[in-house]
Amino acid sequence: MDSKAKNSAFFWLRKNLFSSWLNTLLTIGVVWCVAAVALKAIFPMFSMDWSVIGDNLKLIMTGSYPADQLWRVWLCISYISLFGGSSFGYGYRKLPIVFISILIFQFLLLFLPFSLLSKAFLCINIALALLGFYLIRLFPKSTQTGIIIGAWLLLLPFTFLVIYGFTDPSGFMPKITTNYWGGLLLSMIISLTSILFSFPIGLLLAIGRRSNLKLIKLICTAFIELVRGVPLITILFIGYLIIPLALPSSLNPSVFIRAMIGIIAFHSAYMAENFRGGFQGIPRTQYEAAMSLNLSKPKTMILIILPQVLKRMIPVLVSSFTGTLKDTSLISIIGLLDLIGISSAIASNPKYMTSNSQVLLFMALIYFILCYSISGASNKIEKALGITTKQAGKS
Amino acid sequence: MKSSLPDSRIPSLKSMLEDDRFRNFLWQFIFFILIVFLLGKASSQVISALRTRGMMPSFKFLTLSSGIVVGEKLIEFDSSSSNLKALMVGLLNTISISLLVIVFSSIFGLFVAICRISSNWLVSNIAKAYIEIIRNIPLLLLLLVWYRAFFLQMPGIKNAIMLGKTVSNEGVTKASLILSNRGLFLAWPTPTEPFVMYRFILLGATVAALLVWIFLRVRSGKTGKKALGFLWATLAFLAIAAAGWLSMGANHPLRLDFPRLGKFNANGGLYISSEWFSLFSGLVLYTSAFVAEAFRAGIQGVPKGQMEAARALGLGHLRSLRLIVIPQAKIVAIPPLTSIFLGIAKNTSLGVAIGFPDLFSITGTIINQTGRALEMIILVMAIYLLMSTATSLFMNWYNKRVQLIEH
Amino acid sequence: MTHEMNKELIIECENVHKWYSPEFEVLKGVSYNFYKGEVTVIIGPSGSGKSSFIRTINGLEEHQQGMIRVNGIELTHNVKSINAIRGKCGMVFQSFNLFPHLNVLSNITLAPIWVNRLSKKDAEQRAYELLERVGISNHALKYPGQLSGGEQQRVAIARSLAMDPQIMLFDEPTSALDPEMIKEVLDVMTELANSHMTLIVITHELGFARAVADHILFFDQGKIVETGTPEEFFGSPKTERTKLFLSQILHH
Repeated sequence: MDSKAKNSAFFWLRKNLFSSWLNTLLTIGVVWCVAAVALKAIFPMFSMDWSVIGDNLKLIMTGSYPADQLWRVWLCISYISLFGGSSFGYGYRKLPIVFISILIFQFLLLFLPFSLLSKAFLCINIALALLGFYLIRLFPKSTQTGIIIGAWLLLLPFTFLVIYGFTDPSGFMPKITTNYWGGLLLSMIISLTSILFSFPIGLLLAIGRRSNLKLIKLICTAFIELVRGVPLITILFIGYLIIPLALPSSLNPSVFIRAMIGIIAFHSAYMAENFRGGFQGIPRTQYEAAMSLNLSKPKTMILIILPQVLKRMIPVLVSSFTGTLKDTSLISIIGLLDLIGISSAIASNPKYMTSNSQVLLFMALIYFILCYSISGASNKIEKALGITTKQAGKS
Repeated sequence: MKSSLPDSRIPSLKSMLEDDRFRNFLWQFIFFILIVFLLGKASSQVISALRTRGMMPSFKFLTLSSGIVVGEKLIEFDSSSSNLKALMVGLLNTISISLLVIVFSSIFGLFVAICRISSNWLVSNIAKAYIEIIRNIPLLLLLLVWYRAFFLQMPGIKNAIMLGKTVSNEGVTKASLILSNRGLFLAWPTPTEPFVMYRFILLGATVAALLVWIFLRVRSGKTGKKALGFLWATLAFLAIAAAGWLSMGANHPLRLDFPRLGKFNANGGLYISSEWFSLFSGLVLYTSAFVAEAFRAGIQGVPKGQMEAARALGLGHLRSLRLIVIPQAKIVAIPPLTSIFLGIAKNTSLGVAIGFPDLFSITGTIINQTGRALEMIILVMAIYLLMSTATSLFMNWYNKRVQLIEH
Repeated sequence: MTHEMNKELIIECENVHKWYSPEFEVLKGVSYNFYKGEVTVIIGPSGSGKSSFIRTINGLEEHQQGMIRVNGIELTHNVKSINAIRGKCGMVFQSFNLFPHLNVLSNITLAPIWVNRLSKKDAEQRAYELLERVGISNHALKYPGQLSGGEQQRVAIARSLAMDPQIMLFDEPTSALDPEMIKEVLDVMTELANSHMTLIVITHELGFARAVADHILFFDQGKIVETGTPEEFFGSPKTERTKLFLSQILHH
């Protein structure tokens, strides 16, 4: 068979779809089913009234955040653009396809009927991303690492500062309390905060679980097993109903804070289990070598064990972001207006009562795009790290 | 060269602080005090806060009448039944739906896994698309879409889809099947008065079937002959049940109850509510994707050489799969399956979002009615923990059973 | 190699017992004295307790009964004593146990910097000297995964030496190496012996034992069965057990 035939579409079709009688039957059957589903379910979707999305886009994205302060949300996105571009520049020499496609996507958004402010910021973001990509090279490699890690660690404090604000109402960044935060903004903030806190807490729990101090081991194990054995919603309910009782009445934590605590507690337990796997991958002999060099237990942990564990944990960390993002959707049940909670808010508007499906499907699309990209990124990071460790392996 | 103990038998404080074992004890002691202090403070706060609201923690409220109306129940329940009973209803709903989800998602998940590794590009990629979609959207959203965009779009009771419709003289419409946005009604056998007697016949049939099964197993153990124990046992059961039925003549112990169309809903027969079915099918849809991935990892985790070796020995394709590949696939698949199954009961708690009276949903209602948040949450968490532990223990036992015996 | 008169006691072990459970006793009353500057080779079948023995000496594992004293310090639960003893003993393992996330130089300088509080400069200088001594100074910035087994083990030796120990313990240092790399490691150990370092070596390399050892200990079933100089041990073994063992290993 010459190579021409091998590469032809005909040959491919034969091999993958029609290689045997059974396969042919299957292919025909599947095509018929797909066509039926498309006709009954997918095409009608296009004829549905999607104006509900356009009308409520701001609500879906940011909840009740005041419209005149949206520039602050854009500011945070700009931060992400700048340092996202830098991160790409850190890892790649040439512009990678993913990066370019994100920029093209943003460029295409310019053609949709968004406000002037949004369009201006979209342009700024594209510029910042490219700027970050090229500017990062100006620094020596070790400084680059510092900048990248520092920037991502500071993302959340920066976001909080900007979104919450710190001046009085007449200032340029008036305080906007958490009950005005909603939609995708709220989901993202809670997810990111959860990861930021559950990572170290989970690590401490995992270390505690391995401790040979029986009491600490007991408490950590009990906490982890308790939290993992109950649904997230019960933990959220504890936060919602019981935290206000447990604290002195002077403190009145907002629903936001209570949900936050619940989610952090929940994810810390799961993080701890992830770390447990990581720790189990470190052979006992590493501890012995450190012991024989007279390194104390804390020093052994920090200098020898943790660097190895953390390196393995990075893909897990990134992929757990998708889990957190999805789990955060449960805060809608205790009344917070995250992305899903907003759909109920929209549905209560008599004008949009029949458009509930459209709203939900749009949200499904958002979640899908977000989670799918993050998993993709996690796979890429895993591959990149795998290659790095292999190069340090036997040549 | 003797070991030199200091002359004073009482160790000095300094030497104690330097002792490894004492240090461990000291750290634990400090932690203990800290934890006790924090927990104590928090609990006393909670209790005093409850006291000011006139609600000292107690579980007595469980015996009070609940005032709750529940759509589906597996046991007798009405609004005058106690709160505890309401909780039982929720628990039974959760358990029954979880078990069914486990069974069906295992089957469907296996099917999807097989599709996924099929050599047909279309089949494989459709399975992949399904898995990717499910994995990247939250379960809550899936349930909401499934419930609102699908089930609630069914026609209302006035335009319900019906099969085998009959209209009686008084204008009462009956049918074998009524499908509407309230749910599905099916004609279903219900016990009549003679059923009390028939129950004993059924019991006897079960005992006979068991005896047949045991007898055949023992005999096959001794003679080595294959015994279709299960088949014969089932036949025995059916034979005795049928004989009992016939012997009762015209007094049928079961009669077919046909659902009757009402103004706002139907009545009679077997009722599968939209809520139940959307939760059930939504969970099956969701869980199967993960089960499929676990099975796929299991099957692909078995070295290719195993299949080749089996075929080389002359075993057919299916038999190789059954005897060689699948047992080994189980070993790899069980840990992820364990966490998936553990998650199912917890995921049923999302029924609260679509109005299905599962355990958590009812808990929420009881809290609303009685205000007993603390007690109810403790209770319901304990119940979920029990379920998790039971599932965990079972899966660990099963895991041990299938593990390869290594030194 | 040393004269009888210069013998200075460095490790005393008296009636050392170690058990994991009442049924599983791994050291059944071991008593022996080690002297400064001498090379002691421990041989014996696997499971005889020799590995457990040297791991109790530097406190890597606990002994339940008996007395171990290193350079006058008794090994007890006292944290200070454990640290002092570990500071004096260096250990080299069968599986090298280098830290994979650090390069060779950092592997060697880590403990001196963080435990002995050397400055980075001093630690690196010492590290280069040691790398020179074990013969792999050109690999200083490579990672363990990029080195051969023999090279990794030599780094491990340099790493232990960087802590300035008085005693070096070797737990089957060449058992995990390919045959062609065993010699380079044994050469380093021989050089150490020649520089009057106290060595305790568990090994199956009888050629090394014969050439370099001052004393040989034969372990079996948790006890020292026989001791002697290499000439005595190989030439005229006293016990039946020793004779049996020697006949098994010398004939292949």
